[in-house]
Amino acid sequence: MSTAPSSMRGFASSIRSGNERVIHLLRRNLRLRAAAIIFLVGGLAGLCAALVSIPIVMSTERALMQRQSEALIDAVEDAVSTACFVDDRELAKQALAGLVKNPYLRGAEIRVDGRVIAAAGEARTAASVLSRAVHSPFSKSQVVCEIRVEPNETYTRERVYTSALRIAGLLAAQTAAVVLAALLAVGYFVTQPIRSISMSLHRIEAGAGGQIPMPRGHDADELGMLVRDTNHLISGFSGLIASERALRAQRERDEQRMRLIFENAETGLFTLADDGRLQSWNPACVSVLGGPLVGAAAPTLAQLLPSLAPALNALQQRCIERQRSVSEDFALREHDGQERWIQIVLTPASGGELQGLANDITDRKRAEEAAQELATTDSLTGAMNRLGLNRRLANMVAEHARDSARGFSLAMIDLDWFKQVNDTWGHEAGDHVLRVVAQRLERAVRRTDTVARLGGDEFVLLLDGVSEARAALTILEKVRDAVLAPIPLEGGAQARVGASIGVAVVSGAVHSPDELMRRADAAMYAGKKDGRNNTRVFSDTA
Amino acid sequence: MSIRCFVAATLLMWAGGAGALDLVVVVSPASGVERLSRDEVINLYMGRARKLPGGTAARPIDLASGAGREKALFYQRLLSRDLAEVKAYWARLTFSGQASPPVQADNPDQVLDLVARNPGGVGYVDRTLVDARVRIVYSFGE
Repeated sequence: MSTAPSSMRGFASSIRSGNERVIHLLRRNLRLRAAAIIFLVGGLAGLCAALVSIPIVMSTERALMQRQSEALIDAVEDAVSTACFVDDRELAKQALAGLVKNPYLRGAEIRVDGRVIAAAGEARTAASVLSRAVHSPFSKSQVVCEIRVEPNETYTRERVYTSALRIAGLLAAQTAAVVLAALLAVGYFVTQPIRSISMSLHRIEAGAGGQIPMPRGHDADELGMLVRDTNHLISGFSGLIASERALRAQRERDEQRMRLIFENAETGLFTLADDGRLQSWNPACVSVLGGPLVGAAAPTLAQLLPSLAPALNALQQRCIERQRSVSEDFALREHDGQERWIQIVLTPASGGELQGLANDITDRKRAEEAAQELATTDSLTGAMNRLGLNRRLANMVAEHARDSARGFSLAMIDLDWFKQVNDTWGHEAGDHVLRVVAQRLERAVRRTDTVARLGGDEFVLLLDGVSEARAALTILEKVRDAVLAPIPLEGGAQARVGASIGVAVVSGAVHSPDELMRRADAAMYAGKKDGRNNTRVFSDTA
Repeated sequence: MSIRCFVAATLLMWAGGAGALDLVVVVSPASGVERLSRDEVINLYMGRARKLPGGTAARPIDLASGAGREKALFYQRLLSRDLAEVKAYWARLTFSGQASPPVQADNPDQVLDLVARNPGGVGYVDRTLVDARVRIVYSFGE
């Protein structure tokens, strides 16, 4: 007995799993689903039709039975009339016996004045009795008896049920036919084309494109529309993917190119994070900035070049404040004492970052310097030319204007008897004399002083820090002596030149460079007028 | 049937032409019956009534088929049926054996005799043949 519940459970679970299997199958199969729905609806409709047909058939059958009964009574009425007329019970019984042979009638009887004189068939019930008054054969007004018949309800019901069953059977057969037709139609027109479309879709690879072949005979219907739309979509996506791929390849090439440029550039390229640390840098940075080395922690520019820390920080600050590119050249003293120039350009980028360029501009700086020197040097004597003098003088005037304690003296020198040297020994000898005089002037003054040749036999000395006339005169006497010393020429001859010197001393008041030149010039001519080879200091009173 | 109708009509015309018959129903005075209704006559002759109104057992007397034109005329006037139909009616009843047709007399005189001798006798004759032995209880009129 103990196994009964478990076997019941097993039975229930097997039913459940069976149901699940059916539901699973219906979920997977469009055809079966359509068939199931048709079967369900058709079956229900058939059942309803059969049920609804029962009362209809019943009333039809009742009417038929009524007619049948009437016809049967008609058939025996004459005999019954005669039998009743003469009260012939035997004849009456015979007539009734013939009557109840009919399956529509269950029983029949003849009554005279309510008394039964003849009966046939089964026991009579009161229900649904059909009765008719029977007249005398010779007088339509005289009623001689009454025929009562009881219809056979059972027989009628059987006929009704048989009819309903037949209808249900026919409908079931029709439903089965429709289900079969639906299975075939759905399979042939829907499932099979969809499966072939699905297989084609599986074969299509992403990116490669491809088309679903149109299922035969479906080009005008909904499936055809689906296939066309899908193909349209596929080709659209394929195009998109292809162009996307081409773009990606292009970008990779560009990135590669940029990387090559970045890696191989002679210019140091770097970015600075918002905290000032180097974020990324190319190999050129290492050679230009001297680092950072591979694997080193990201330093700031100031840490990388400690000697330039204040200037670099200021440059960074300026770039961030102005939000535009800034650049500055910096001189670096190498370990071996060599000077090196670098130029750093900073550009603001998004998010407080900075992009930077670092170039080694030492060669350019040297070239510039060379050009500068060339421009400010007298080619004959190697002394400063007029341009160089003007610059130096402007600088010194500006410096004196800032700090009046830093005075200086300007001495204008004109060589005496130089014309005779030229006339006597020629221009070459004159040039030699000029070169020697320049050398002697350089030697006579300090390194910080300036020797310039204005042209011809005119020289200018700038004596830095000499702000007293006496000190100036002491120095200039030495200078004059140096110039006066005989100058050996080629061929053993000796030339002699003198020097007329005018001095302008800059101490307290500020004067323009032109004014200083004019004063020194005036003092020099005043000396020349008094007799040559003389040194005069310009004074306001003179 | 139409031929039979034709024969009946011919007979009627012949009867009318040979002199009209005035059929009456007669009984024995001993029966105590004074009058009979048309329905009572029908019931007596067609087997429904077995007794006279007075209670005497009825003995209706018919004419033989070949006895004359009275028989056909009688049934025609009484039931509007011809003799063949009447014959068929009795054939159905005699088959079950429950009822029997009236005794047949060979001629009207024999009818009168039988009625006069039987208190329950009933017969039909032409009015001109009626005598004191019988009593007229129903008349068809002209």
